Amino acid sequence: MKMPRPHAVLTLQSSEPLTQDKVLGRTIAGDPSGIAELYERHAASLFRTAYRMLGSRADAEDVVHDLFVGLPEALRRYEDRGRLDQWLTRIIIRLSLMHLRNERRRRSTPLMDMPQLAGTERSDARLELTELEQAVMALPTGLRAVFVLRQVEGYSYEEIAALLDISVGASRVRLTRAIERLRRTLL
Amino acid sequence: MSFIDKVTVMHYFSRHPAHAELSDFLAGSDPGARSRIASHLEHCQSCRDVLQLLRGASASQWNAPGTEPSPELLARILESRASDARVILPSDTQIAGSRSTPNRLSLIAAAAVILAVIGGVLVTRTASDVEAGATSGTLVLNPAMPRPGQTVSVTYRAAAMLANQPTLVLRARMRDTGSESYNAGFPTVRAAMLQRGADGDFTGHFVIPANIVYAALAVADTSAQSVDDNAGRDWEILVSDSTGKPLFTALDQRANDMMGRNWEEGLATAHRMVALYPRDLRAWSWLRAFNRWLGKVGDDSIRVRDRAQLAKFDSMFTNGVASDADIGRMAWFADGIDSSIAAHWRARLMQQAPRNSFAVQWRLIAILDTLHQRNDTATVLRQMDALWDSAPLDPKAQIATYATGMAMDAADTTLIKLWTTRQALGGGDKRDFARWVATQFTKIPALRAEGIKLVRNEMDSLAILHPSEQALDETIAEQRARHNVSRRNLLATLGQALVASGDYAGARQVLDEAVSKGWNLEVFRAVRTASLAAGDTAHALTMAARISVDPRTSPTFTDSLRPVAERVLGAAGWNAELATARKEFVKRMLESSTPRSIRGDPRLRDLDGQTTKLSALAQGKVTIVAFWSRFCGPAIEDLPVMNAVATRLAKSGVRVVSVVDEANSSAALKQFLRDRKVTMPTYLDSWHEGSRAFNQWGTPDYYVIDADGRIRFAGTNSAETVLARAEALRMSEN
Repeated sequence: MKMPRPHAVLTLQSSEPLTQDKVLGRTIAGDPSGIAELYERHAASLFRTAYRMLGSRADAEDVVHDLFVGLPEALRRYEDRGRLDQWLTRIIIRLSLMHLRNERRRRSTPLMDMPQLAGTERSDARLELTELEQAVMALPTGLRAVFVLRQVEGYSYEEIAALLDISVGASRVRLTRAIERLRRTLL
Repeated sequence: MSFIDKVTVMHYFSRHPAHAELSDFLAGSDPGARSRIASHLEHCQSCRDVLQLLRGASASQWNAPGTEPSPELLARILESRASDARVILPSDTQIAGSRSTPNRLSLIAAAAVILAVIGGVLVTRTASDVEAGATSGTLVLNPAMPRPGQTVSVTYRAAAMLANQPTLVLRARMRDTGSESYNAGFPTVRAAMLQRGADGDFTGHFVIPANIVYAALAVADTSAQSVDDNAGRDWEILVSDSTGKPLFTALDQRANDMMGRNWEEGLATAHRMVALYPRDLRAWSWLRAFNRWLGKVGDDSIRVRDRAQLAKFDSMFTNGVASDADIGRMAWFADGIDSSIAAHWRARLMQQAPRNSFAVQWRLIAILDTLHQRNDTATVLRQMDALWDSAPLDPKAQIATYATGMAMDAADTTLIKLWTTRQALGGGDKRDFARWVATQFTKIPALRAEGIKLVRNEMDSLAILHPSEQALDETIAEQRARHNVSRRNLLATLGQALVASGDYAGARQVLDEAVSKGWNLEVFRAVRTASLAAGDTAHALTMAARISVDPRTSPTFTDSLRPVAERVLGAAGWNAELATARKEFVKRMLESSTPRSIRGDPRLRDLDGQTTKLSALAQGKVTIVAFWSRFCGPAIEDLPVMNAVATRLAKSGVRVVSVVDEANSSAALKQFLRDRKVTMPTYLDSWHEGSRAFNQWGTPDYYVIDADGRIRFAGTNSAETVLARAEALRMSEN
């Protein structure tokens, strides 16, 4: 395990409260109180982003879990990358996409066709979503990811193409299809 | 404006922009199209609605109540951190605002460190500080459900530990329709070489041999330093028909592969068989078998269903055509469900198909019964010889196993050779079997010379590490370690055989090597004998001291030795010898210890229904966690031994937590414990959190955790071994 780099790498933008510096320092040192404080500030919004991407509470919790477990080590690489919340959002999106890819892989192997054993099912508590939100959640995974990234998170087609490993044209086509489905459902 | 112009303009306004263009309009991008879309929107309610929909999707609208993580999530995160779980997050390349070419390589790098804290224990494989997720990559097979003989292309996004290699090996354990249960001695084949492409993905392809129906896969580097076995699950191929439905034989082989590897997954396979092939008695037989093995066959719902299925098959085979194999399966399936139906099919089997595998097994049992009644080994062996001649291949080995044991008891060298040769035809690990035969021969005076020769041959064969003899998930280091253990055991056998044949000098030479490696009571005993025979009392006492300090040795041995030892060495000298032996014991035992973290802090329930946590039971002390089950023969047999171990260790402050695989306490369980005089504290693994935290399957399975709450030794099914390990650990911490 490498030792944490000195705090000098943490050049934060002035929009961040000054105390953040200390919190990050504690988090990098693996102090649970630092992790807990960052969790209080960011977990809810990160969870929502993950939930929009994944469409499942349990999966969203899993990626948020993974992000915070990996945070102390990852923060050592967090150099001058702009605002912390944006940096965290980018990571949760990447984690969510990796999760989707893994899901796809698992679904493509026969193993997952097996009947679930009792007690392993995850139940999704019903959320109070608007009609639009429910319709977005009901989109197929590939379309939902593009729609959420574009319309909710505000990414460009180029960025979406890079994140999803598809062409720019394909990301436009998918967005159009996603909106068309929503239109048919909602309008 | 002419009529033509009017139509054109109308057309211009009425052509709906693509939805993506509306999104661009909203985002303020593509200024060139702006005025056209704005004009269109003036006339088009439908597009205005879409625009409204898109506005509604902006992030600020997504804060509905309930879209918050559950209150326990933070605790779960902190627990994972505390148990040393680590996740390597994807590297953050500057995505936002960048208009550069997508950086595919960095994406692959991110995916390469795919995190996997997937409800298992984080087992370190190569380096001591390999982080979670560094050991599992992503393997994509195309097609995932190939047909027989089809070419499968493979894309592997490497785990961090394999990502730097130019070439990787796709390993496979391939099963044809006749492959046997369990995975012992299965050759591991190189299915394909995977080459790293410019994008960092590894790709390759292989053809599934036409006779292969199931394969378990893993990825290794070319020198087998690291293996990615998908966190113990392996990747899999089930050969399918043209509709994508897995062949029955593929599921059949998956069930065989899961035996001894993952019983629950085996049961799941059987469930899938009956779902896909409900009219096939073999599917229902598998399901019944796994339910039996997992102790579920007594459940009411299962009993009712089995009974209904039996009635269905009974009428189907009574009114239709039944092959010999069907009759055999009916007799087996009905056994334990309906005695009269079972008797009917058994009688029909014996009359119509006495050479069927099931029939041969029942005939074998009948022959063995007569042995208990009359104790006439010679007659029984003659009967078994006749049975062997008429048996099909698969019960042949079973007959030979029993016959070999009897021939050895009778010390009949001709029969021993005959039956061991026949037994070698059976399945399982051929090398293991050859070593077993060699060892057995050294114990029989008339065969000892031959046994010594065989043992030396086997030791020579251990010097070579054949890739095909690596288990699917085995690294070269693990294979070497396994060979070293075998070699030490063979050295001990050889030494003991040389002692028995009077060659003390030769024995000492062989045994000194065994003594210098590891801690093996058998070896120490043999060296002691050889040393005494050679007049080397001092060395004999050094060995005696080692035997004495081992907690598995009975105190009587130690007590009876003391006067002799003190006469030779004096009281102080003998105590010093014992102290050295104790140090050596601790050192050698801990050499085989690899610390792992427990995932989380599993909840258990006591017999009165109170929930508690493992950490509260261990209280920062060396603790044995003993998994067992009321429905597992070996576990029940071992229960009194484990209980004795617990009583004994209580004196030295080592705790034993006995964990039984049941959800709820019951009068039957309490009675069971009373009947067997089990006094060690017993808890219920009500939520399977215990077995998940230790990543363990099957019972009995005993673990030692240290004062810091880490697992120090892999599970063992021997109460004596776990006793020695726990004592060594306790002594090391004092």
